[in-house]
Amino acid sequence: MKISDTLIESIKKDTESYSAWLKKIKLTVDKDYFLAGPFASPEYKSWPRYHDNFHYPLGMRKMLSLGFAGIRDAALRNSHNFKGNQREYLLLTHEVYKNITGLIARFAAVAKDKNLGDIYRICNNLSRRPPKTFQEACQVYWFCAVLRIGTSTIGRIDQHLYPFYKGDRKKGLIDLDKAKLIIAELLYRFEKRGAAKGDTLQNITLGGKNSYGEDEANDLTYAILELAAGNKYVEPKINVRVHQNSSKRLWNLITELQMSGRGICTIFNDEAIINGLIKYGRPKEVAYNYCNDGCSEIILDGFGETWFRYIDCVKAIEHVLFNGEENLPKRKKMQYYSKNEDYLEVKAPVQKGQKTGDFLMMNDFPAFYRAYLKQLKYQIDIMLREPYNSDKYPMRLFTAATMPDVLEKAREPYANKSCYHTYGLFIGSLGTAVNSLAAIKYLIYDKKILTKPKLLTALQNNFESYPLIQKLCQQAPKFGNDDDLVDKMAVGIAGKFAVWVRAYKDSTGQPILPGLYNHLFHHTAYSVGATPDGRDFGSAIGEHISPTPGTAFSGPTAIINSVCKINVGEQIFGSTLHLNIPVTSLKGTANPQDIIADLAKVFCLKGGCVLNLNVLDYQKLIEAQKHPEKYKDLLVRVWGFSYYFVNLSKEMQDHVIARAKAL
Amino acid sequence: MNGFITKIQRFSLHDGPGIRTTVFLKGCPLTCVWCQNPETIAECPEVLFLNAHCIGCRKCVKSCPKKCFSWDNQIKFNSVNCNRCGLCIDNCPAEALNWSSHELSSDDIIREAIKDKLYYDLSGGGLTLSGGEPLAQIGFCYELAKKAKSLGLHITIDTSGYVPRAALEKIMPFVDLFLFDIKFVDRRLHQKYTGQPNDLILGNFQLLCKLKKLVIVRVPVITGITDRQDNLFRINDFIKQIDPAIKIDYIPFNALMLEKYKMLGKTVLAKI
Ligand code: SF4
Ligand code: SF4
Repeated sequence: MKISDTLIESIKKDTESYSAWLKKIKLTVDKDYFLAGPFASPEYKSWPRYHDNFHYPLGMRKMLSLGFAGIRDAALRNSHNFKGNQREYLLLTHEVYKNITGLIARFAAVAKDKNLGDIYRICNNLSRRPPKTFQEACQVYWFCAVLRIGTSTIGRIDQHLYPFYKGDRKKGLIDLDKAKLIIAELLYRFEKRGAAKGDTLQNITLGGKNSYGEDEANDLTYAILELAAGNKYVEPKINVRVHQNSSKRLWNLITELQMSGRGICTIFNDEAIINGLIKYGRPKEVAYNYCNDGCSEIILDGFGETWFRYIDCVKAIEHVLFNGEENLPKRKKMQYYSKNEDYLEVKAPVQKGQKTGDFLMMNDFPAFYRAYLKQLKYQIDIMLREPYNSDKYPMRLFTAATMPDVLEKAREPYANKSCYHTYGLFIGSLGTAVNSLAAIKYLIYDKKILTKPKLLTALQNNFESYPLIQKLCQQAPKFGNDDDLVDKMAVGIAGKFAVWVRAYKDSTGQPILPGLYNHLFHHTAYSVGATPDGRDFGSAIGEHISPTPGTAFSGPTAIINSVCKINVGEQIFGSTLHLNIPVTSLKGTANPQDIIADLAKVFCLKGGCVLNLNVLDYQKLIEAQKHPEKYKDLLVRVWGFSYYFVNLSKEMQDHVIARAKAL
Repeated sequence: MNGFITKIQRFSLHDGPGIRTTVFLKGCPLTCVWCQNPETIAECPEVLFLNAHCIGCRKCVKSCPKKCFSWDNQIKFNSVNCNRCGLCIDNCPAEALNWSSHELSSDDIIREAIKDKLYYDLSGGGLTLSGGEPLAQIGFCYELAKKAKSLGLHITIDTSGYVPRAALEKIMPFVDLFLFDIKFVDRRLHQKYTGQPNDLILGNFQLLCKLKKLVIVRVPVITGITDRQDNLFRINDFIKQIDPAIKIDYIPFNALMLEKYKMLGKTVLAKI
């Protein structure tokens, strides 16, 4: 596993500009804070994502056990064991970390000038040795946030900080209240750093079980959840790992956050996810350390990076109906999700499909279904043809040094087998694709109440002047109502998808991971035309693994049952159910928190992976769209994050309203 | 055995403890002027009109021999003369017209109810039989409750109490909780607003209490009718003197019902 010349050249260039950038970091030290460092990082001149996409946490185990100074010294020490580019690689790492410890020493100097003894001592220590106390470890966390340039995924913070907290408690250096104050400041800093920008990727993953099956929720887990319930922050995004032995206290805190209506606190089910990861070849000790990225992707905390691509399984329906062509009434320009962004033309990931023959000639449903699978497979092949990473943009050294075996074996992480990168392919909108298939099966082939030419004409005209056909389509069976006939199709398609995707390998030989997710659901609604389920162009489309908004009328238990028929445990890159519980349905019940906890627990028992449960007030959303000035602080879930409703683009607002109406 | 069912409601949170499935049975011997589920009063199926589904094709206007439908920019449905021939339902292409109840076997219902067993087990929920007056179809209820009990489901019966004592005794062994409606203690008022006297109801209530059955009393709070202070006091006194531990729930009036009367082509009975 040599490091190529092009790679080392690229690293050199990035290291130069990174070192220059380090000098621009403001030496902010303030008497009102426990921790040193500015809230924001300076601008970086080239697009920083080339060398670090920020979608995965740093290897904090390594970072906290060696410290900045330890990594600096290990890089130099180990460089003597290697030759050529590998030696050069470690020497460059040494240089980066020398610059970092130098920077931290300058923080110490400023603190000394300002007579801030505590901060001086901490920074001085961290410039020379690993962190030893809880406060020092928190300081490392904050420096890492600033040093990483962009806002990024944080990972299992409660687990990594806990040994320091426990050590301090034993020595009598700290109590829970003091620790809570420091944590509260850390949360506040993430909030400021995120600056209400929405999709900042700043996700923390709390709790979970270890490989002995023991609950790892600790004092800090509870402290963070309690603080989050008390503050009104958007950042960091809170996610909790739950399992069969999770405590009542944990569930109470989770449901308290969910009831707050801010769309926060996503649940990850340890049992299903860990088993799934092991099945995909991740070693046990790695699998137990999973956490999540900004879009609820399941990633491995401290083991390599992640990246994703996506295809659209609703588009594949269109491709079958129109023999590989699109059927869009018009092209639409849209914002990403916030109303302050630029308008860009929305496009399906794969616009043109294969030629699978004339729909009019497909004489039975199996023929149609076969053509559909062909179109879907075609999209997968197009998307996964190119490998995920390349020599061109190696991982930035600051980040790379925290990954397994990088310092010890002088290996660049992208080709490093012990890293276990998470590369995945998503399909979203499965619910809408399945509804379309069900409508075609039911209306055209089984009941024969609609003819193929009529359906095509109605779709080509976006149902305009075909209201009867649209109603017929809308009344066909729908996914999310615990109806086996429809749900089985979802099971079948998801199963095929998983098999096809995992046949592809990444550069370290690991399978690509499938996931049922699509963060761009509101764009998809405009990148695919009218669909046979009666949905017209632009109307809300199913997000992730959730039913199409407005079509699940049998309540949340039916939705969970439908979704959990799919083997989501093998959709291991993430398969999020976005479940809305109308606030009105819980009104007057004795223990609403217990009710939603029970829903979540059944979801887990049935093998569900990721549940994003929201208690929503439909009326409030309608009001907020009419009178935005009165609802400035109304937060709603977007995809992997919550955002202020009134700042969402019009299309995204409409989607959020449509999904709230679903029940 | 088959029963007449108007609706099966999953994730029902207000008809007993925990997460439940509520089965609404058709038929009720009382005619409360404020009835919230008018589609459940009559024993036979009726035509139900869903304006939201209607596409305005007017096929119903043409097909109805009794002229129950008229067109005035939208469909107007008046069921007074309806003979339940079902022609309109057969002819409606948009499923805007449907029977208000369906004949289902106890196994059909069990199959539906068992889908949420895990939710019941975790939340302490189960199956609720409501109506109408579920015990008006006592044979069917008995079979259903027995089967459900053998599968370990918690069973709640939501009853008006206006049922033969024998029916109550028959179902009792399978029931974990009775939600028991008490509207008036005054016999005359009861007759006036529900069409029947209340001796049977109060007697049945006393029987359940005597046998130490778990009962929660539900009082529908209807403005100007049941909500008078003296009525509410009398109900409270009556219950507390039998057993002070019995819980009383006051159920506020549901405005949704006005829509429902329209669907049935009827006018509301009470002037509210
Ligand atoms: S037949 Fe059905 S769809 Fe047509 S007007 Fe009557 S109710 Fe409406
Ligand atoms: S069922 Fe009633 S409303 Fe329908 S066609 Fe027959 S008489 Fe008319």
